[in-house]
Amino acid sequence: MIELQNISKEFRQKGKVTIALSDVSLHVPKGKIMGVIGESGAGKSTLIRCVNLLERPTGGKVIVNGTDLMGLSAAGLVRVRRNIGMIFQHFNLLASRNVSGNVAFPLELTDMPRAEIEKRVSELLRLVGLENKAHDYPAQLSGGQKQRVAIARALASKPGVLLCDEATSALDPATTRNILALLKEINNTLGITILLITHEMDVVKAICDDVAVLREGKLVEKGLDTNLSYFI
Amino acid sequence: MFDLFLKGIGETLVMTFASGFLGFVMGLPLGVVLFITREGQIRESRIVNGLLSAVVNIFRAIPFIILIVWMIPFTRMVVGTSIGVCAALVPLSVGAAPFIARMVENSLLEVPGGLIEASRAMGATPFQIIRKVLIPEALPSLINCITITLITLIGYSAMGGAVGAGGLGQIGYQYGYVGYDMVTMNIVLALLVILVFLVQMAGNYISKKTDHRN
Repeated sequence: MIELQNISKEFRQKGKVTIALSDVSLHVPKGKIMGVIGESGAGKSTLIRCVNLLERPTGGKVIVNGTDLMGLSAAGLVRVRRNIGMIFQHFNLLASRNVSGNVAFPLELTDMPRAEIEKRVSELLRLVGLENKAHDYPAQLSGGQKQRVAIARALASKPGVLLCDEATSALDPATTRNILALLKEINNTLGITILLITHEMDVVKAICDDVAVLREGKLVEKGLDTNLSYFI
Repeated sequence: MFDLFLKGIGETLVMTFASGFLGFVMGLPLGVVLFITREGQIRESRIVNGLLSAVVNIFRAIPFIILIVWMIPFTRMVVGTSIGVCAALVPLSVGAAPFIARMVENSLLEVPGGLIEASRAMGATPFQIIRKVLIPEALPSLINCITITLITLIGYSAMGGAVGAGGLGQIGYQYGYVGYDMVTMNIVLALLVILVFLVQMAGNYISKKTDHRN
C-alpha cells in the first residue's frame, strides 16, 4: 500500500547541507499497522512527510496505492492526498470552526453536497464517540477529544492510508491508550493501512504489526523481533 | 452651526468608511500575496515578494499630506476634480492600501503553520487554503486591522480637510486655524475623539465575537 524506495532527503540552508534521510526503503502492506520508532532528530517527521509529499524527497520513489507520487502534477497530487489521511502531534484543528465544521473541512474541499456532508459528519462523530460535542469549538475540548476530532477529519474522505505523526506524544498515558485502541479499531473495521511514527516503545508494542528503527536518517533495524531494548 | 457639524460628521464618516473599504479591496489581496510568497510559504517567490514589498515600502514612505498633493493629477483623471469628498477618497484609499497590506500579512503570520500543513495534507489547493483556512483563522486579528485602519483614516481624512476634502477636518482647519474660533475647533476635536472611541469599541466587540481560540 505504501512503498518507499531508496528515499533520501537533504535540506539546504545558507549553503549548509543537512542530510535528514539517506537511502530509506520501507514497505507497508495493505491493512497493516507499521511503526517507525526513533529518537528526536532521527528523521521520523521528515520520513512521514515524504509519504504525502509535504516534503519532497531529494531522491527515491514514493508509491502509494500503486501511484508514483513524485511524477504527479500539482492537481494530481491534490487528488491523491485526499486519499491519504494524516493526524498530528498538535492536532492542527481549525480554531475558527466547531467540531463538525472541522470534520466537514476535507469534504468541502471536494464540493460534496451539503446534505451529504452533514450525514457523513454525524457518522464520523459517532465513530469517534463525539456526537454530543458537534457544536463545541476545539478550545473547549481536552487533548484526547481534539485528537478524536482530528481522526474523524482524517477519515472523512474514506482514505486507504492513515499517517500518524507522533499522534499520542502530547497525550497522557490513559488518553494515549484510548486513542491507540481507536486506531486499532479503525484498522480492524475499515481495513485502513496505518503508518505511525513515535518515540515511545509502548505505542509500537500496543498496536503495530511491524516496526522499523530510524537512527540518524537511516533505517537500522526492522521487525518486532529485533532488539529494541534501547527504547524501553 | 449644528447643520455644519452634522454635515462634517457625515462627510468624515463617508470618507473614512468608503476609503477603508476601497483600501481593503486593494490591501487584502496584496497582503495575502505578500504572505504566501514569503520563504517557506505555499507560493514562495522571492521575486514577487521582493517587488511587492518594495512598492509597499515606497508608498508607505510618502507622508500622507504630500501623497494628497502628489496624486492630484491622478485624482483629476479618476474623478474629474481634486476637491471634495470624492477626490479625497483616491489618496485616502491609495494611502491606506499598503498599510493594510502589511497588517494583513502580519495577521496571517499568526496563523499556526501546522494548520496550513494539515490543509495541504488533506488536499486543499492554495486558493482553498487562503479562503477556508488563512482568512477565517486570522479573522479576529483582521478585524483589529480594520479598526486600526479606520481610526488612522479618520485622522488622514481630517488632514485632507486642509486641502479642501471637506469633513470635520476642513471645519476645524477653516474655523480654528484660519478664523481662530477656539470653540468650533474644540467641538471638532471632541467629535473626532468620540468617533475614534466608537470605532475602537465596535471593533473590539466584533473581534471578540469572532474569536474562538480560547
